[in-house]
Amino acid sequence: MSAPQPAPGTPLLEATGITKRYGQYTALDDVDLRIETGRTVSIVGESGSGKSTLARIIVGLERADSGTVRFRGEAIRGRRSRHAFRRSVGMVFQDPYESMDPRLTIGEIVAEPLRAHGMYRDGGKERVRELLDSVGMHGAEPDAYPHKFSGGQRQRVCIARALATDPDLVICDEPTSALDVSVQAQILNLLLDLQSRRQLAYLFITHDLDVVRRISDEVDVLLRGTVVERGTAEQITRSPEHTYTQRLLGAVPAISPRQRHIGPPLDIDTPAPRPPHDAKEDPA
Amino acid sequence: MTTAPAPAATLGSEVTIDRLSVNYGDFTALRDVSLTVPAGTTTALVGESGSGKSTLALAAGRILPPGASISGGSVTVGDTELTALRGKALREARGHTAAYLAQDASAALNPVIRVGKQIAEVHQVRCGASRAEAAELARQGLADVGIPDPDRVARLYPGALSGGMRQRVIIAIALAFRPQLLIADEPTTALDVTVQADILALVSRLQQQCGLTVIWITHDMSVVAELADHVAVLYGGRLVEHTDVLTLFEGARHPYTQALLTCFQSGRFAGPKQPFTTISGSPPVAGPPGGCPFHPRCPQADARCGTELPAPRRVGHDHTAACHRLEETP
Ligand SMILES: Nc1ncnc2c1ncn2[C@@H]1O[C@H](COP(=O)(O)OP(=O)(O)O)[C@@H](O)[C@H]1O
Ligand SMILES: Nc1ncnc2c1ncn2[C@@H]1O[C@H](COP(=O)(O)OP(=O)(O)O)[C@@H](O)[C@H]1O
Ligand code: SF4
Ligand SMILES: [Mg+2]
Ligand SMILES: [Mg+2]
Repeated sequence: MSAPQPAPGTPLLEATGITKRYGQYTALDDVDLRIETGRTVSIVGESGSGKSTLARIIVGLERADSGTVRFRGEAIRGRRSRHAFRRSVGMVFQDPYESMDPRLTIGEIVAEPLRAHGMYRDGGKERVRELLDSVGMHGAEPDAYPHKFSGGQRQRVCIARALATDPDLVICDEPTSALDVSVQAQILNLLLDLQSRRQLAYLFITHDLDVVRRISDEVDVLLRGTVVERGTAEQITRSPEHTYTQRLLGAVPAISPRQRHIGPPLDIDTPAPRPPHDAKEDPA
Repeated sequence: MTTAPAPAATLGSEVTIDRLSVNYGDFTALRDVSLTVPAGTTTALVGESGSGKSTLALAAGRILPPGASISGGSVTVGDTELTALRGKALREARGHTAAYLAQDASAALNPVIRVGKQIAEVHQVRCGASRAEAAELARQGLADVGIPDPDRVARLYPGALSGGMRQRVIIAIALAFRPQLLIADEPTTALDVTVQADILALVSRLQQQCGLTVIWITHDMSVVAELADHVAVLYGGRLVEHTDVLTLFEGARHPYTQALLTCFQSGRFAGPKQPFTTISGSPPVAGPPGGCPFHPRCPQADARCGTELPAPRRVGHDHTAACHRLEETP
C-alpha cells in the first residue's frame, strides 16, 4: 500500500467516540479504544454490554452512528479504505461451525480472504497448506469438509482463515467459549505462539477472567455500552477499582472446594454423608 | 379437593446407577457405569465433550432420544427402578422422579405460552390443582427461584426474558414436579459469570432447603469446586474416578483426573503470556480404543494399558479409580 509511514507513537488501531444506537437503545456510548502493535487488548463485560457490536464496527461489518476508527493513524472511511483495512485485520468468532459455510471445504474456507483480496492466484494453494500447518492442522486434507472435524480443529481452521492475508490485528470474539478446557488451552497457546512469531495484535473478547489475566496487556471493562474501567491485566484482575469490575471478579467460582464462596459451605471436619456401600464398584 | 402441597422438607432420594450401558445403535456411548448419589447431596459429573455425561443424564431421567437404548444395567431413584418402567408408568415417573435442566433454556420453554402458565400446567397435571391454585403455586415458584416481581413475570412470554431469567423459569418448572432427583446438564455454561454465580447460589440454597438430590454436569472444575459433594469423572463412556470433592481436588489418583485438574489450576495460576497446560491429543470421537480408553493420551501408559481394560477399584475410603498403575502413581 502507498500509505505514508505513520508518526512514531501512533497506535496500530485507535477508535474514538464510537456510538451506536439500535432504535432507542444505545448499544455503545462514546467508546474509545487503542491497540498497539503486537499487544493484546481484552474487552470484558456481561452479555449485551456491546462487546460484539464494537468488534463488528471495528472490522467494518457494521457502521457506527458516530466516531472514528484509525488504522496506523489513517481514518477508515469509504469503501476503498475499508477494503484495504480488511486485509490487515482477521476475525475469529465464538462458534467455529456457525462462522463457516458447511458446503465449502476447509481449504476453500481458508482461501476465502485470499480470493477476496486477489491473492489466491499466485501460490494460493501452497499458502493454504502453509496456513493449515501453522495452526497445527498438519496433514489435514484441504479437500475435507468441516463437519469431519472436532470443535477445536474447526476453530484452528477459522484462525488459519483469519491469518490468510497476513494481518497485523486479529479480533477474537469469544474464540474458546464453546470449547473444552483442554482444547481451549491448545487454542490459546496457538494464539500466544502466533502473536510472538508474527507480532500480531489481538482485540480479545471473552468473559473468562482467568483467560483475560493470562493473555492480555490491557483490559477494557464494558458496562451497558460504556467503558467503566481500563487498566493493565494485572490491575484489573488483582485490584479492580470500579464496583462493576469487582462484581465480575467476585462471581468467578473458586479454585478449590476449600475456597468456596458461592455454593454451600463445605464442612471440612465432618465430611459430607457417604454412600453406605461405596465399595460397590469394586470388582468382586 | 386438592390442597396446595406443603413446601418439601426432603424431596431428594438416593440414586443408584448400576452397571449402566447406553447405545446409540451399534455405538456404545456409556459402558458399565456404577454410581451412587446419596439422598440430598450433589454429585458433579465431569469430563470433556463426548465423554458421555449427557447420555448418562438422559438415561437417568429416562429421556434418551429415539434411537438410543439402555443396553444394560439399572437406574433406581428412591424406591423406583426407573429402568424397569414402561408406558404409562414411565410417563408418570418422568419429571416427578427425575427432572432435567438443559443447557439451552430457551429450547425447553414454549415460546407462545406465558411463563406463569407453563409452571401452573405442571401443578394442574401433577396434583390436580385448580386453575387458581396452580396460578398461585406458579407465582410462588417464580418467587422461590429469586425472580423479582413474580406477578408481572408470570404474564410474560419466554422471549421477553434474559438468559438468566429463562434459566430460573426452567428451574421453577423442574421444581414444580417436586422431583426426587434434579439433573442439571451444564445449565450455566452459556451464561455470564455473574448470572452463573446467581444460579449456582440459587441451586445450592434450594438444595439445602429441600434436601434435593442433584446430579450436576459440567466441564468446569471451578463449578465443581463450588457445588459438589462428590465427583464422578467420565472418559470415553467409562467412569474413571469417583470420590468426594475434597479428595478429588487434593488427592486425585487417575491420570486423566490429574490432567484435567492441572489444566484448570494452571489456567488460574500461571503468569501472563505463559503457555497454558493442555492434555495432548483429544478425546475419542468414534468410540474409545481397546484397553484403557485414556491410553493414547496418558503420559503413564505402558504396554498393558493398550490391551487390557482397567476395572474400577477401591483406592481409599469412598474413592474408586480405574487405572492399572495406581500403585505407582500415588
Ligand atoms: N442488529 C441488532 N439490532 C438490534 N439490537 C442489537 C443488534 N445487535 C446488538 N443489539 C443489541 O445491542 C446490545 C449489545 O449487543 P452485543 O454487542 O451483541 O453485546 P455482547 O457482545 O457484549 O454480548 C444488546 O442489547 C443487543 O441486544
Ligand atoms: N443422538 C445421538 N446419536 C448418536 N450418537 C450420539 C448421540 N448423542 C450423543 N452421541 C455420542 O455419544 C457420545 C457421548 O455423547 P454425550 O453424552 O453427549 O457426551 P457429553 O455430554 O459428555 O459431551 C459421543 O461420542 C456422542 O457423539
Ligand atoms: S490404565 Fe494406563 S493408560 Fe489408563 S490411565 Fe492408567 S496408566 Fe494411563
Ligand atoms: Mg457477543
Ligand atoms: Mg453434554
